[in-house]
Amino acid sequence: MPLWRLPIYDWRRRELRLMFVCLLVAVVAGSVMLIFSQELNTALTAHATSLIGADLVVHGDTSIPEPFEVNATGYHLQTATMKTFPSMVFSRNKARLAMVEAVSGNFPLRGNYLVETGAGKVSKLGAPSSHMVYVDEKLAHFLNVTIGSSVTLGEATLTISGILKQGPVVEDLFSALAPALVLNDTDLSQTHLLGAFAHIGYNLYVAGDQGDVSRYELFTKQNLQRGMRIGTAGDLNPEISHIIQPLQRYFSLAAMVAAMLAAIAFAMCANAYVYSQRQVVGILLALGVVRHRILRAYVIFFSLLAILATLPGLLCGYLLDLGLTSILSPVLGFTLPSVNPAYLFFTGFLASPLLMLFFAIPALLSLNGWSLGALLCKAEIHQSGLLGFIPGFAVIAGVMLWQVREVWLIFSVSAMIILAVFFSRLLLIFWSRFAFLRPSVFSMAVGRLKQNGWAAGLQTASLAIALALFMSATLVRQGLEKSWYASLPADTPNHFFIDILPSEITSFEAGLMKLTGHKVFVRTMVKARLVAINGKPVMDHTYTGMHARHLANREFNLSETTQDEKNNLIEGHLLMAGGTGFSVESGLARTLDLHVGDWLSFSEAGRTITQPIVNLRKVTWSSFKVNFFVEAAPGSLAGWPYSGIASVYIPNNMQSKLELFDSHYPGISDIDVTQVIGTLRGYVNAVARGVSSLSGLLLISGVLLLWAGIVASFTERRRELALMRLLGAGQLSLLWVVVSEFGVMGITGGMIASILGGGLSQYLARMVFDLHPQYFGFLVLMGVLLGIAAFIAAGIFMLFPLLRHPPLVFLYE
Amino acid sequence: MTAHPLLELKNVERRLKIPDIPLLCGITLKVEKGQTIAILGASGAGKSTLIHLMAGIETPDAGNIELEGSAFSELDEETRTRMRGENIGIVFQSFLLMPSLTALENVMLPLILLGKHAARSRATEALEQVGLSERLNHLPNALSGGEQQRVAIARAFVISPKLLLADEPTGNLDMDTGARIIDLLLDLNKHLRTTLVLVTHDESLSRRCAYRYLLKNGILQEAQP
Repeated sequence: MPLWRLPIYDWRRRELRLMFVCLLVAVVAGSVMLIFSQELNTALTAHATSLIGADLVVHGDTSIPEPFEVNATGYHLQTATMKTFPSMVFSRNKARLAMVEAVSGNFPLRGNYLVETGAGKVSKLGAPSSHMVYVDEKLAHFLNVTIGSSVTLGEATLTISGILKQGPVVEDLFSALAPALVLNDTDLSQTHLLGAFAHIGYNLYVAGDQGDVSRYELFTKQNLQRGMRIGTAGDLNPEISHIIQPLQRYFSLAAMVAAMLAAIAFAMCANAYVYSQRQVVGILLALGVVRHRILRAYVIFFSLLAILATLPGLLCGYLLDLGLTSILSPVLGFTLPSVNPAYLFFTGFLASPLLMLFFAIPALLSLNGWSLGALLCKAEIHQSGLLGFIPGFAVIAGVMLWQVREVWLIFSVSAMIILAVFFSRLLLIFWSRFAFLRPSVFSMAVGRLKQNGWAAGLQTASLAIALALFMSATLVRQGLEKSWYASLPADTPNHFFIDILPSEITSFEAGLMKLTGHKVFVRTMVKARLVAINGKPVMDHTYTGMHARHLANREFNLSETTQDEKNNLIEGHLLMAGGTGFSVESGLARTLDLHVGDWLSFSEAGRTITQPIVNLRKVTWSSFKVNFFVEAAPGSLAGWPYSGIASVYIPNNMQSKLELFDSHYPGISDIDVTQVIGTLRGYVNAVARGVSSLSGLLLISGVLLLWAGIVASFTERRRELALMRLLGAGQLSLLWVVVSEFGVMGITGGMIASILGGGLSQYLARMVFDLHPQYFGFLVLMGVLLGIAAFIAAGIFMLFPLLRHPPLVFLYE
Repeated sequence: MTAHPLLELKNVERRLKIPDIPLLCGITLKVEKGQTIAILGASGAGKSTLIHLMAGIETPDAGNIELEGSAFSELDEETRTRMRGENIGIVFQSFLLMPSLTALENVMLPLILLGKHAARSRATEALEQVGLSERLNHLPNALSGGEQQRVAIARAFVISPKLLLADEPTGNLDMDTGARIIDLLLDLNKHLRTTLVLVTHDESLSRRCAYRYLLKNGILQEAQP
């Protein structure tokens, strides 16, 4: 009989069965968690890219030079185009100013148009066919048209094939509401409109492999000309981008920690199993079998075990992933991609041998150090220590680096785990010393932790990390829920009116007062470009950062104002009527490196204004009041062409009155911001749910690890509890022993979880959310309580049968 | 009022479950306070089972066991455990020390479990009595077999038990060390008046006890002098 078959007869041993289970769990956790987090990540990115209809868009005030499209094709990217311009749309005796989107036939490259094509039937569609258009609900209402009706755009008569419910956002979220009419660009020539309009927006959309898109983005950045800029899903709204990036890191972190926890659980079981084999090894050595042959037999056996565990592990992983995607897709509001079986098998079969090689082999190698004499007389022998698993952790870190591609993240996680283990160990030693000041059942239980310090420290630290991530996820979730998207006051302005002509301002203000019952002020707005700072012209290359270049090159909206509130001032003095100077928003000043006293020159259509910055101010954009990056003193912009802008809150039940009001001002665009808020809120809520689900899975991994830790020491504990029972300990005493030991581990784990969770949450709160610091006191308390509860519950659950069992059967193991 | 023996076995029977064969058949034995009793028998004769029954670890299938007149074997597990902790010390062949506790902590353990005061000083004293005052803070794996057994003996008598049961206490030790362990147990009997029941298959060791019994074919009978 080959030697490797010998352990098969050992199948009834708990350690071996548990090792199999741990390997299975490790495969499930290692592969599925990684895949699931990637799926979630992909889905979120896909959802974000569907908002702009592509992976990247190049905007231009003039026609985008041909090399940009040629190069995109050269990078194997799909391309699509869109031209946007405002135009009057007619239907019978009605007319309305609308934003026209002329799209190529393959637009959008990502996502779809959500179009009502029949009574209550909403379909996901691409661009409209030739001679067909989509109109949004508002335009349809104003023109009193429906599906099948005809509208006139320039000289072309087009048929409405659908009512647009939702489509990719053009440039920013406000104009997302403006695409009142979408037509196929093959019909554009028939309208004869292009020549008549000076302000046409040109957009080149690209989509493809992430690496190709990145390379193309680099090329585009290096070749951008004045009036051109790049847009991504992140640029659509910087707030969303600001949230997505840390969350993507969080997902990666969660997946990585889950894999680490699974590996630790497996290592614990492998170590326990190998240790349980000392008698068998002793007998084999005594019978003259050489060590390397014994070692080889175990390696073969372990490899077979790995294959055996991988198959059901992959099946479980596949089913789990399928379940998760089917459960979460409706909750998230978008479809998660189903798992790629090939990728699942690849990661599963990669994870399994890696775990086996780097976490079981060190334990097996410790066989070489066992003396035959010690084995035969059942003396205590050396077990594989933590150091033996360092190569294993290094390999996992390497795999994660390959997946995540963020060195600092890998370094941070590794440092976090090492520090947590050391800190756990130190705390456990402290508790045990402290406990022995007065001998008691408690001190005896804690003394056990002192002796098993590294294993207990590792176990405690691992669960603490899982708890920390769970807590920080809770904070992320609550932070998102408390963010301004979700918690705007009820009377926050929800309608923006733009393009108000100077001649309309007075009657418009009066009409709005009649409609809403309170005075609404129309702010004047002058469009101008920033041409010089302190006399130095602002050129394309003045700023290297994309965001700064975008801001500097954009057309600014300037407004005159008499400032009467000092609260928002950060530096400088208030603008005064009849005075001079600009007031600049602090964020813009920071991005463009502007300071009080700098001279700015704005120019438009032959006019130029040059004045110093007299103050920097903070703007609460989330107030949804009309705000400007740059404001000038009253009278400074006299003689410049201007239009009006206003924001106002209009309850939903006044919709019909609002439509009647709007019909009196066909040239004024009424932008319903409620839809913007709804879009943002839906997206952020989806992200929050994703975070919660992933952290929940992470917590399960942590609990599994705790379970594995108890299982690894199960035989030893059973013997100890039996011995205590033999010495007269009642069930309550034994229960107290278990509660003491796991309670101390829980307090330690909870404290570490609180510190880590607090730090991580602080980072998230500072970098992502504007949360109040008082929140963290609760977090610390929650961490400690969660830690204690998790450890004690796991300990009692696992060891309770032992408390009731007569001691005899365990005495002679 | 009649004084009860310390421990009395009345027609105790015990069967092996698988296969179903009798192991102990109608064992009757009176153990009086201060006695030293040796129970001899071959391997598999049921000596350890008899010790387990006396300690209340197991219960008889028939008959009963009384501890100072109370029906020890008919008590529930929890009460038997408590009575064992307070009245009976046990020494095993394989020492059964807690590997994670030092020698001193191992000896303190029964005192702590029973809620006794001055555990540390009493345990230290017990270890000094068995000659291990220099090894208080050593873990079991740092002690020799003989030293481990002495820790186990100290742990057994630190609670001042009325009955000390020793199950092959020299089985894992060499002859000289074994002899010293028996000396120690008999010394304790002599000085502390602790009743000693010693199970062994070593004829010469058994001769050092006042009473000797032979367990053979499930029947306990007085051994030939």
